[in-house]
Amino acid sequence: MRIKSVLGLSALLAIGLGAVGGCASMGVEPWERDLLAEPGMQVDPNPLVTALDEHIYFSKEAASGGLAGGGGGCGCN
Amino acid sequence: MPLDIERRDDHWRATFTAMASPCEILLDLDDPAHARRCASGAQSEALRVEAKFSRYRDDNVIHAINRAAGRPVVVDDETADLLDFAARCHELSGGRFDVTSGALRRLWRFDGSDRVPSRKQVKQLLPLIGWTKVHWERPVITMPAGMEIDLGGIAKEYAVDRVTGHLAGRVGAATLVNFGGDLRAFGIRRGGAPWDVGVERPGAPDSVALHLQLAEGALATSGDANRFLLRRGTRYPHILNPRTGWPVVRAPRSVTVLGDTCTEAGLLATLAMLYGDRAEAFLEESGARHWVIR
Amino acid sequence: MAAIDVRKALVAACAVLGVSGPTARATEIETAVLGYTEPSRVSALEAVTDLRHAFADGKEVNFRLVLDALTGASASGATPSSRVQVFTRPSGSGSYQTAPSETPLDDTFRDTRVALSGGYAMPLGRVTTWDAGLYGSTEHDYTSLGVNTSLARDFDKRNTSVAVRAAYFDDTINPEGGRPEPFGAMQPAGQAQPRLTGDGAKQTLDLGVSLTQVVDRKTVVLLDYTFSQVDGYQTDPYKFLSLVDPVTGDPGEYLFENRPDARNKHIAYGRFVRHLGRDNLRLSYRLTDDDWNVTSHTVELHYRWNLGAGHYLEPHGRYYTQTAADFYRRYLVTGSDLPQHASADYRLGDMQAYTAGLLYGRPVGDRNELTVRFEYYWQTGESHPADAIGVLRDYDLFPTVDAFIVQVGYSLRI
Repeated sequence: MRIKSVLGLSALLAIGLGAVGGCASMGVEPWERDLLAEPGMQVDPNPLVTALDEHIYFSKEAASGGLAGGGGGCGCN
Repeated sequence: MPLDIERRDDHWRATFTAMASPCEILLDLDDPAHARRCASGAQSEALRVEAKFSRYRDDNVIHAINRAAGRPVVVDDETADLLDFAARCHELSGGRFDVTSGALRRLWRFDGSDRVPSRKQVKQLLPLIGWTKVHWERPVITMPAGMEIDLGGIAKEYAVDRVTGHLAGRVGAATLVNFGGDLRAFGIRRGGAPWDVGVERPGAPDSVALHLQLAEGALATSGDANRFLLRRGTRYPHILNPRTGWPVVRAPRSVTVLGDTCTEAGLLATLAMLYGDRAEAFLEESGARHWVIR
Repeated sequence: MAAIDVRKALVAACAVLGVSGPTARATEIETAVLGYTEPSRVSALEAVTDLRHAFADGKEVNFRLVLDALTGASASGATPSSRVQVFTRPSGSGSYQTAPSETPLDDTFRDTRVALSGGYAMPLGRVTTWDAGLYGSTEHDYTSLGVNTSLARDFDKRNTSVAVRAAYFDDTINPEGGRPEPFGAMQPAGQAQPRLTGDGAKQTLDLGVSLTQVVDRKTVVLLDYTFSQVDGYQTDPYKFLSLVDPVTGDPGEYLFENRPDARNKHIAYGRFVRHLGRDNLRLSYRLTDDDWNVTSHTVELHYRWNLGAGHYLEPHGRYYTQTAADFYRRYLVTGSDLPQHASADYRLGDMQAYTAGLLYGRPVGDRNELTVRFEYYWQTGESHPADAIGVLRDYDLFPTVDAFIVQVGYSLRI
């Protein structure tokens, strides 16, 4: 399991680095941001909802973090 | 001053006249009273900028500077900011952009005729032109008698940005500010779609040369419209090179630039015109999105 | 002077002129109230208020206040038994009973939490933003203080954005009745309990890097990696393990749990946002791994169904699975050697969790938005381990936990 997960992590990072390397062909011109400007196209459109959910999951599960940082600051876990 | 407001599809359109241009404010909201309040505030701010920086009035700071005849004039912060900006633009453009070049208009009347001034006339006027002859040490400006400054090349775009700043904290909805083709948009429209913007064909006010979509940012256009002289087959556009006193040859008919602010976009468009046949190269290198019509 | 520098200088000159770029002055206040209930276990009521103000020059301040009231019972870690079980309350002065075959729950769970955080963000030039923040929270047995900072930079016409961040938390734990001695045996009420002296302390350092990439007009991708290092007291002072008879499975004693005092976590996170017709899809995946050997996978899906005129309905689904920490023991067995560390906290066991939810959002007037959501969350684990001893074979050793969440939120722009 350990080996598998480390492999998974490396794969994810590799995808990330690939994205950086390949970004020359990605992206839009400034006047093509009409759809990207919509509220629903934001990476985290409801940060307050995310924060409340992360807090619940933080207190119920062994893993935490991701979109809202590494977690912490609460005695609930 | 008249302010007209009408409903259009999903937004309000307010229109008025300022700086000799048709001005329009599009507000993506429903409440008519709120729309009128916002538009009225926008109109007041536009008229304030016009009254303060117009060279056609005799009761403002520009008049005071132009009639000081060599005496120092102390200016307020906003005027000082604009003069600082003008000085910076003069420096950045290698002297091509010059707010003292207005005196040349006494000779050059771009009325479509063939009345091109003589070399001697132009030469006689040149001593009265040149930002380097102005002594500007914030907040004091001292300018030789006979010279004139004209902030007309900045004022309209500046007014668009000022009005945008005024509205941004008050409207609470997507807004487009358009003063005679210099425009700026902010906020996301409720439908998510950008604003449709048409850029006029130079010389044909009712035909659209360019259809653009603008979600956020500014567009400014610099063009010679119908203002040119024609003599012996040579077209003299109204863009004057302050260093020679003569029109910039082979300047584009019109240059439209996309920027973050209207002032930035407007200056880039004006500088591109001043570069004449190198306008495209200049814009290409600047990295700004642009449209040139020749 | 090159044209590109002319443009940069113009942008700078415009900023000096007081006509700034796309950022507009705005104040936004967002409030949400959340009710959380696990039938016959924990109930919580949480209220959050966010205040954000963006200045015309691109600077921003934000504050968040969280109030949290929690009450009810949670699993203590002890196993069910064929007899009535008597447990001493954490204070050491009272006791409570659990009926035969019931899962022992500590019903003294009651707390209120106040958390306050504030941040300040400022642009450094045209494409770089720096921010810094402070965090403080307090409960009757727990205090946390934190600082955080991040630096973000846009590249390629703002199509690529890279951010690095760091956060540090300093926590103090002062449990009711004091911290139990590791593996100390629970004593009858009124007698001296095995206790450590002083408060517990825990330090957390998070280091993260994230990449946001606009792929095309309809697609945005976020990739994020966080390394989190936690040092100090991480034992749950209210949880203990049953020390059971190797034949009958009934408990003889209860030993307070003991966790390692260091934990290093790796968190990789990816989110894919896509425009579909007039709707939006957000698909997220998270992988975490740590040196307690907890590996977790989380897949989450949000589908924003735009109904027009700003109304939207957003179904949400989430699947979570984790492997047990290597020191997780459902119980300890009399006569066997004590492990170095052990905890029967079900949250450290093998587990799957599911969430199904629905959010509805609608504009109110020109500036405000109202959101309402419902979520159902449930957790399942190994209810009947194959190697269970004696009577423990008859009991559910990992009862399903269900939770219902209701939230109402309102945001207004001024």
